[in-house]
Amino acid sequence: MYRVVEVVETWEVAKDVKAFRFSEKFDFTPGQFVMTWLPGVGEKPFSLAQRDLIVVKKVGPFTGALFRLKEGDRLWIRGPYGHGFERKGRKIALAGGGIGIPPLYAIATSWRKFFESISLFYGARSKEEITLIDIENYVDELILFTDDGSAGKKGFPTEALAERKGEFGQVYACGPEPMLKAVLKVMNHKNVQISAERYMKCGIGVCGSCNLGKYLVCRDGPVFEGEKLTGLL
Amino acid sequence: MGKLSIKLIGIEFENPLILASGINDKVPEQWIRAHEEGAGGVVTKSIGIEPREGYDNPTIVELPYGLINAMGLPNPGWKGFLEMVEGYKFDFPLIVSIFGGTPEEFAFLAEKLSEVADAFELNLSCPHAKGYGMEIGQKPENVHEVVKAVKDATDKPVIAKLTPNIDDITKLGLAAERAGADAVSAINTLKAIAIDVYARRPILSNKVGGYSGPGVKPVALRAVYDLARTLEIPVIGIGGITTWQDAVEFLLAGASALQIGTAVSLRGWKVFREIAEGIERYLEEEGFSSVREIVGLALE
Repeated sequence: MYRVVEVVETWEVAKDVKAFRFSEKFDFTPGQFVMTWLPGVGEKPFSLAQRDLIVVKKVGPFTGALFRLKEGDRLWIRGPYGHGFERKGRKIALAGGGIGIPPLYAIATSWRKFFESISLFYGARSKEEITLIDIENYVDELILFTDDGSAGKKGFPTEALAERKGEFGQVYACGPEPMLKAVLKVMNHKNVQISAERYMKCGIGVCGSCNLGKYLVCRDGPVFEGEKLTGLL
Repeated sequence: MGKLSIKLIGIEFENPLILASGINDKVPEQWIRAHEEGAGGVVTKSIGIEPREGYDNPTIVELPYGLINAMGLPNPGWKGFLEMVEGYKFDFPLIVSIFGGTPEEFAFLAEKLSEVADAFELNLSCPHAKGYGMEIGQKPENVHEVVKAVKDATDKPVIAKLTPNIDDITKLGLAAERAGADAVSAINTLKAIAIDVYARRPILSNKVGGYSGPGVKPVALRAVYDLARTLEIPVIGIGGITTWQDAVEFLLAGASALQIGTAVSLRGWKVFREIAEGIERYLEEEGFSSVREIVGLALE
């Protein structure tokens, strides 16, 4: 059943991207997601960035309605669901692309003390699409790329990761699928966990709509060990 | 044959635990996974004439004793289904669930999909799709017509999946039997609704849906018991089976095989092995040599 929460704070993170902090804290593992219902509008999954925080890009009618919420407005949330990241490695790398930051933000903010160092390899299309929230405060190193060179280096974060992958005990990735494929390839599917995305409806392993091969992203994922995805991604 | 193996409607199943229609069974990889995880057979998601997207979210409500869902029969249509299964071979019985708005549509689907299906299950019971499922299957004469039309269109065994949303389910069972059905399966979900007290509206986008899971088990068990007492053809028991004790109850009530659905969501894929191991232990401890021996013992 839903927990009804209030929006306590919203702020703009990037172009068409907003953060929503709500009035209740959920126990979760980084990588898990919640289903968010706006009565009369719809229900969508979002990765938790913190126990009480989601970060959303405006893409359609549902997110449009979400963007119109003000402080004090209600949200209906069920979850958290799914298989999150497993904490591994001492020196770790986060590899993120575009709006893929929330689950990595969850790692950096909730697991900071367990790691010796965190290096973030991040890429966005352009300067105005950089969606880091304030993750730079929780990582030791930020290696920034944009496709057009308007901020950081021009190019893709996976190129830099490829050169330095030997330094890291574990790589945690979330972002657009081509980037995830590149990360898996760079890592040879080893010592890497990725957060995958498929069209999700029920969120609890009934409808089967989010299948990734024989797996369900909502139950077996969204986080998968790289080796599990050999031949799939 | 092993202790748990059964022969039903001319088909051999490694064990009597079959994945129910509509749970994690959209694509061939999921059917194969179900078998790997211990299911003795698989029923596909219901296939219709045209592709359907299904309803918008919310499509599911989680309750303390089960789920209410209104997915809206999302499916790729029969053409998309054939494309999807091309090149696959299955080493377990594949039961294809079909739905139509008329006997002719059911018959058409059975004819088109006969190459792929080891058997058909007729969805005469989905409680939340306008013009389909239960809206047809609540009337014995409709059940009769649909079963007869499908039997004329295919040589494959035909299972009629019945709705519990009727005064007496045995009327539907008898109609199916008289029309030549090879078996019936029961129950489909109970028509239900959930209202959010703060939103002050039904949660499901379709408003009503079908209730499944542990909460419906006693109702399902009674339906199976009544059907098994009345019919000559086998009954496949469905409805809230979550533990091996549930499974044994259904077998004793006269179910020759069982389908498991909601429990896969509640407990994970491991539920197939857990239940199979529990049944096997029970048979041993109680001095039975095969699951076939206990079917219907509570009817006497």
